[in-house]
Amino acid sequence: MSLRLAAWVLLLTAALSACRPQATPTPPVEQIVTLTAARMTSLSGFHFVIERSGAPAYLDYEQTLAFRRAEGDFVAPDRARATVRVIAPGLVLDVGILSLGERYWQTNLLNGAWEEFPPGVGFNPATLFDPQNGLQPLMQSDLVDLQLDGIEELDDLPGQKLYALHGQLAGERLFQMSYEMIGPETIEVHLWVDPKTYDLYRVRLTEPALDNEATVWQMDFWNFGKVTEIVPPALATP
Amino acid sequence: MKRPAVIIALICLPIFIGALDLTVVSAVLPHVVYDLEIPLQTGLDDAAWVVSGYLLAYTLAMTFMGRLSDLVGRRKVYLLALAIFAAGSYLVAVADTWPTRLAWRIGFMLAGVRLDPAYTALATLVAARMIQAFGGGAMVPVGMALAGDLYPAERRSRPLGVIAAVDTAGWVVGHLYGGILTRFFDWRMIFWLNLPLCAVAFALIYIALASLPRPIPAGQPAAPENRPPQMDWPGALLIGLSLTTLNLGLNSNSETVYDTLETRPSSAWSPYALPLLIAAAAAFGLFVWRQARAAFPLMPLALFGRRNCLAGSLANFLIGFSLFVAIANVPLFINTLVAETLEQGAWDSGWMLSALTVPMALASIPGGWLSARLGYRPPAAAGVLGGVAGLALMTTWRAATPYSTMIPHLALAGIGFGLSMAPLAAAVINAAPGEYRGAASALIIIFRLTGMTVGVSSMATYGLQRAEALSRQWLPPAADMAETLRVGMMVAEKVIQETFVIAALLCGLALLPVLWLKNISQEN
Repeated sequence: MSLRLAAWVLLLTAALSACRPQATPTPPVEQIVTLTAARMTSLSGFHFVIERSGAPAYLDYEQTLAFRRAEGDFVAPDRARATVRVIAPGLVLDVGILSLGERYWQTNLLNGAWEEFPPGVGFNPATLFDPQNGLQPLMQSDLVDLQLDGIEELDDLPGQKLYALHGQLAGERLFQMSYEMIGPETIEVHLWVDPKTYDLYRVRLTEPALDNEATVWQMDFWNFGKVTEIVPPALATP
Repeated sequence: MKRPAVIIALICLPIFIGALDLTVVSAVLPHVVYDLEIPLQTGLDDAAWVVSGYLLAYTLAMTFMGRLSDLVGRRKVYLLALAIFAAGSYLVAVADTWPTRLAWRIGFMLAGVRLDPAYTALATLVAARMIQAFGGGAMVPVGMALAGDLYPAERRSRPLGVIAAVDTAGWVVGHLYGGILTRFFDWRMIFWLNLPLCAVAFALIYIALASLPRPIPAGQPAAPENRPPQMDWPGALLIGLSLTTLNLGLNSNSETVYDTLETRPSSAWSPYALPLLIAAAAAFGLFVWRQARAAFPLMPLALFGRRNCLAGSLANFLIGFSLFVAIANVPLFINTLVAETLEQGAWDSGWMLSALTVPMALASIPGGWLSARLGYRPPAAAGVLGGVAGLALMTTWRAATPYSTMIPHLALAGIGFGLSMAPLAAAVINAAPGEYRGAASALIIIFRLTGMTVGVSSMATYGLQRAEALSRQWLPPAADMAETLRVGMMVAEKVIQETFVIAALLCGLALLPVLWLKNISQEN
């Protein structure tokens, strides 16, 4: 009787463990980065927030306008719009930027009117997230010393389990694509990636500390695949 | 029971702090806006809510918390108001830390939205200021009602006058207090300092009011003829709704001015401004309807049937509007056009505003004396004319105008406003029948505060709309930073001048109800 019971218990345990979902094996860290970069390159669009903390990073040579944050939408391959928050001495200002291929517009600091500028005149997220030459291919080619820290849940994204990885990134190319704000030194990189979709939720870039304070850049992404309508601004004043 | 004078002195301390916080941020607001990283173009109208939100909640609490204390007891309601004020002060001091993170998380979990941290911090700060104001505003009518309990009718005017004077003194020196503290400490210190003061006041008032009898003895149903006043909750709700939607409606137009990602030219009117203003008018209409029918109205309409009550209230509203334009414009002028640092801006604004508010407080004494001898009309009219003259002179200010020129202009306006206050208050109170004197006292403050609130909201909207229009007109295309700043200063100067013109005109308009007053001297 006890033998039959033991057999039943064994059978039941085996059946229950068969029902339990199999733990997905964690892929090698290089593969995670490759899949993440490929996923981000394939996206038709996404929403982003770039935030700078720590030592200031300036948008002008006179060092009067410090970049604080940019929030906006990117639509592949070359469209972006964002609100960039800059800190000037004694005041904080928002500037709208819009980029459509080679064309680039900014809002006037004083009256919010759109003005067209030659390309390359200001910070452009479309350059930073360019699927061919932007952050996505950079992750695959320039990231070294990669390590997987495990699966984490970010404080501000409750319930979202993410791969946490870190590594080092040579900053020269990033320096060019970020309006010379990030880099050119080697930068410490932390990534948080969805284990199922390989969507990149967060990138944190920590530059080497100068004067005891490092500049930290945090980029958050969401609305993966969403195509926002980005059209040229109406330049006529009302 | 403790000596009534001691109790009045004790309850005056929190009332003073609450009133202090009405104007404490006017000098330090640019500092707060910068510290929370609120963008100037898109956030200035929202930042105005740090001031107008406080005024609004302070006014709302005044409309019904006195009546509530009739029902549940002065001690309970006063201590509750004090605790709310202290809790609000704490929340203001920490607004950009854990409450902002909590608000952000709530927004994310409930709506899936990731709010801009700067605006989340500002919204949290405004909410905290409104909590603080609700407590601060509630203490005034409860304190006044307490004076009514402690003193017989013939001796009541003195403690009531003391409470009103303490309340006025608080908001008269608030900006100076804020300016001085910000010179040496972080602006949050203003609110941290409230906490020990409130704790001490709470303990002392808790003990002092322990033996105070309840207005309605517990467990004893009152006889129908002595039925205690009931709380008019629908009335409170309707006036609250009306004032809130009015302020939201007046403030909403400025939101259309700058939308950094709006690629179409902005429209002059927000799509929800008109519905909000209609809702405000409808709620006000319902409030009036309710007051006409309620057994125990919050604001007895019979009062407005008396000429001096109506005229005095209208004049108070217009003077409150004009006065607050001056109080808001002086720091704006100094911070935008004169000061080189935010600390200097707060310090200079605090002192310069004293040139307006100290003469105002001092002039209220001869205002009362003249009113008793000559009647309400002469001193009130002279005061209004002084206010108009002072505000008209302020329209001549330029960036290069020295403080020595600005001070006499501010003092003249201050003397004018001060002269008119006592006669207008006396006109309203003395016109009210005995049983409505308390409500009439509240009317004076409520109308002035409502004028101030409407002034902040409407002038913030007007200023931003005009600034946008003028800068589009004056700024050359693709101007560099230096040119942009130069034009920005010209625009600020022009817009401030125009708001002074509007304030002077509205102050002048107050002459009509003032001249309509029945000129009764108390000596007669």
